[in-house]
Amino acid sequence: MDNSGQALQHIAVVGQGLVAWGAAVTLAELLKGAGVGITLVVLTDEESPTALVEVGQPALLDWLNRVGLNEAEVLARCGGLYCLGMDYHLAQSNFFLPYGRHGIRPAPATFEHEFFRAYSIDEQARFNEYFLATQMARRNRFAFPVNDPRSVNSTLRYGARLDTGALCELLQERAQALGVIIARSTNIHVEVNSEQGIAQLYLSDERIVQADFYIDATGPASRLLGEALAVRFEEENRASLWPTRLSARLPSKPSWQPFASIRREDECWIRRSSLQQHTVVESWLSMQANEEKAHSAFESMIGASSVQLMRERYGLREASWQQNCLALGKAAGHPGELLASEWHRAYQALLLWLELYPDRSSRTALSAEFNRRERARYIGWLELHELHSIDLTRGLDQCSESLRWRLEVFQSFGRLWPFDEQLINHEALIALLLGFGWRAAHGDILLDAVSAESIQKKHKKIYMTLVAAAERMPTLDQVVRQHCLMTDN
Amino acid sequence: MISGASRRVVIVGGGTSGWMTAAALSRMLPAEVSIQLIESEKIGTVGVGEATIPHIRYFNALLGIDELEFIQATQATYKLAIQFVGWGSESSRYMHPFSDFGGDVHGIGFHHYWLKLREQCPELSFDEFSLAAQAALAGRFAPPLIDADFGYGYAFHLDASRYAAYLRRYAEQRGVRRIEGRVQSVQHHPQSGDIASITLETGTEIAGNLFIDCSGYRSLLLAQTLGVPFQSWRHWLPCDRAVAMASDALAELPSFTRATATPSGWQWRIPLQERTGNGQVYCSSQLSDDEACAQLCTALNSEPITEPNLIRFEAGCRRHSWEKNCIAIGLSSGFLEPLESTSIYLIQMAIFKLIEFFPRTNFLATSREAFNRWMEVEYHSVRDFIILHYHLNQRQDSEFWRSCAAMDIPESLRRKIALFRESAAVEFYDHGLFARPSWLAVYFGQGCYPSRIDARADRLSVAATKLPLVRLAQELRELAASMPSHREALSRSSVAAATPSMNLYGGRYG
Repeated sequence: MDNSGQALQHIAVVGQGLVAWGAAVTLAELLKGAGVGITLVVLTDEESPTALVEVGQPALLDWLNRVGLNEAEVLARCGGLYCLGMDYHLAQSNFFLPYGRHGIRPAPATFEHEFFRAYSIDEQARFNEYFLATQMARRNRFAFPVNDPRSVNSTLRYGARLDTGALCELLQERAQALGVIIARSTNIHVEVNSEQGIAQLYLSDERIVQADFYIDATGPASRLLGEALAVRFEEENRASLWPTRLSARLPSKPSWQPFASIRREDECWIRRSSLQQHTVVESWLSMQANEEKAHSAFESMIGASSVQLMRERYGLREASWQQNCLALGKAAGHPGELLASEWHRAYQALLLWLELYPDRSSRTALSAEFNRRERARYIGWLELHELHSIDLTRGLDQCSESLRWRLEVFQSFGRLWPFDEQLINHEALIALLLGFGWRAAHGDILLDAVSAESIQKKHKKIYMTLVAAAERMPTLDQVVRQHCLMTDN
Repeated sequence: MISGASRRVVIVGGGTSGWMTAAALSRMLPAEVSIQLIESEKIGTVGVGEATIPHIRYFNALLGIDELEFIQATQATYKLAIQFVGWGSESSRYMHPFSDFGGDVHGIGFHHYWLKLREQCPELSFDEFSLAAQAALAGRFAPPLIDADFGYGYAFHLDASRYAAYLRRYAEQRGVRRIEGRVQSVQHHPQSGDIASITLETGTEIAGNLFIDCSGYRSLLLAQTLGVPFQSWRHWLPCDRAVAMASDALAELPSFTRATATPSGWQWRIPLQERTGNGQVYCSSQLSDDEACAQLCTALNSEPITEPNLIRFEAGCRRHSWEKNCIAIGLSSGFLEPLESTSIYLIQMAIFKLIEFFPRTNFLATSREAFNRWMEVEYHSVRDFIILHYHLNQRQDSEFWRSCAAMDIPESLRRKIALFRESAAVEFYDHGLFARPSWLAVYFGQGCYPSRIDARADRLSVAATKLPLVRLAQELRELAASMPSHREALSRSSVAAATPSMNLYGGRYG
């Protein structure tokens, strides 16, 4: 078997912003040994505003590591701060959604079931307090995880918040160092060949880019997959999503906290993500919101006039990979960004594509497998965002069928009905559901014979251990000053 | 707290599924739940599941069963793999081991590198890269070490009747009440149609809230009483008979099950400590019962010690396993031939899901729906994997095999094979028993090769690819050779230190 003549030799990435830069650098690094040249066509005139801050889950740091970027250096250059999770503020309650795990072994049932067994419905949300990350966040502490399962610190995972513009600049340097050819163009003309897909690209300065494979990172416009190859966008019309997004930078120096905070208001979600030198505030307005009124309320809340408005269009293309073109990020689809950024999803998609990895031959079954899995992921993210929009008091009738089923199983048995593709870990998902007020009527039957008092006693010990461990840790401020302080700070 | 609606559980039927269910429920349900099991000594059991997969260790561990005691009680031997003989071409032979093959290299599946070498280095079979396969081929066994570089799982060959008897003792010690008798009639609640009670031939009436149908093929409650229809998969799995016969124990105990294809079906060989389980699965339109018995007798490796036992079956499953207040577990729920030793696994999954979704106060409908959805996924994924063996055969010696190769297959399986043939990729799914190592074992073992491999592996020279693979194979051979013989391992009472998990491959997957 020797089809090596068919191997991809040249991949062109087209687009702008973090998804385009991130894809180019990732491909250049991970395909370094495969003899593949990468060209990035940066579309300079595209009017597609991108996020001001990257609120990255732990996968962001895994990515930095994989593409050869030093984490501390990136944080210093991008004014970044480490992040242990998201702090949710709801009308009736607050909760912390950690990135890590509680790490407590089943005994004999999984840990959350002990809460369903030992506490009243109103007290089940105590579960979220049993993550070390939660206790650290409450105290503005931060420490790096250790790779020793005996240590409670091994349960930690962390992400980071980074200034998107600075990150793109850094990626540009990295791309150049990796030999990525960077071409800037105000516009492109895409020539299509019915057999292979994209034939070549004509840039505004009349240069021609011809590649074996094309990555569409052009955002919602989807210039390659959507426009040129006419892959249909299946619009998501759920009233529960948020069609408008406002964002702005607060110039004042914020206090550093190891989390982003997110608050549910009547008609929007507001997220505050502090960086070393400023804070980014974003508001996702619901369909019911009066946009003009919300806009001025947002301006007066942040005291800034420079507000960026983005129209969000939710949905998914019929296929994200067709012929020799793969769409990433919003060019492929958009299920919401409260839980996972556009780059997070794009990177996961890129990893999947690299796992399957085509050559120049037609790979219809391979692309079908990719599209099947990507669709499953999209549906999962969409459901998790739907969870953010439903009103607990109105019960399950307002939910999509699949979410209703998931919640029904949780309410009945305290169990998670699995997603086809795992998006966030089991323990975090339990924390999210409990945080939003969903409660389990019963815990695992294995615990029926265990007394509530003995469980509570055990929990008290665990809690004290976590608090003591958190209090011994340095503050985020101390860690940042030691590891990754911006030079002009 | 269990509401009155689920406090009285009645299990109809003993055998492997009945006593596994009774034992597990007696261990895991609160004491306030009463469990009664009705069985008749006059009704024989099929004795499914003499060959198992590693998940049985997890089941036993949950019940607190000591592994050595279990081995002694069931005359079990260790199992590392299934060897398939004659399933590709007539002379083909391959292992489906309880371990991964090689390991991913730079994020690229190991099998791409092996495929790169296949034509130039035919001496490097795919089995060479599985430690479990190597140990099994060498007749050796040792429990896997914690955190070893090459993980693997193990299971058992066991005497199913002894296992049922062992679990019966276990269950009765925990308060399960066994009632001897045959079911004469079933009474329903007039409004709900739920089963209210069962009347035995003796006239005894046994009332309950939940009824578990472990009555075997007859599916006395689910099918005969509640009328849940059977979905036949005969068009994909045409074998409908088996004849089973025990023979003397083998002098050298293999640590694998053998499944040998014959012109109109296949034969199993399951080595136990004191005897060998043998059987011939066949298609009755191709082979008479007498011919099947004769074929089996000819193939025996040791002296027969029992008369042939004829079993009739049809592949398929009930439209759902839980209807009203009745849950079918085991053969009453569905039948898939024991080619991949999945019978006990399917019983075990049904028990686990019943316990996970055990109906509390008002959740009977949710329990039922969750259970049925889950079991459908399990049955379908095992079904597809078994069909794969038949469909990929390359035998030319009978119409039976030619028609299996030419038959239409489920769309879910067709898609998987097409993906592999095109790109050497194995379809990913999170739920369901068999993951990539299993699919690769069967694809390659039966001569199904892709037209292309990963271009990144393809661009490497043969020489650069060969050296690390030869070294790896050598290392695995040496590791296997350092293990004790299977018989010695049994006498040493070897068990793994690590807690068992619901994983086929010993931690590398799942």
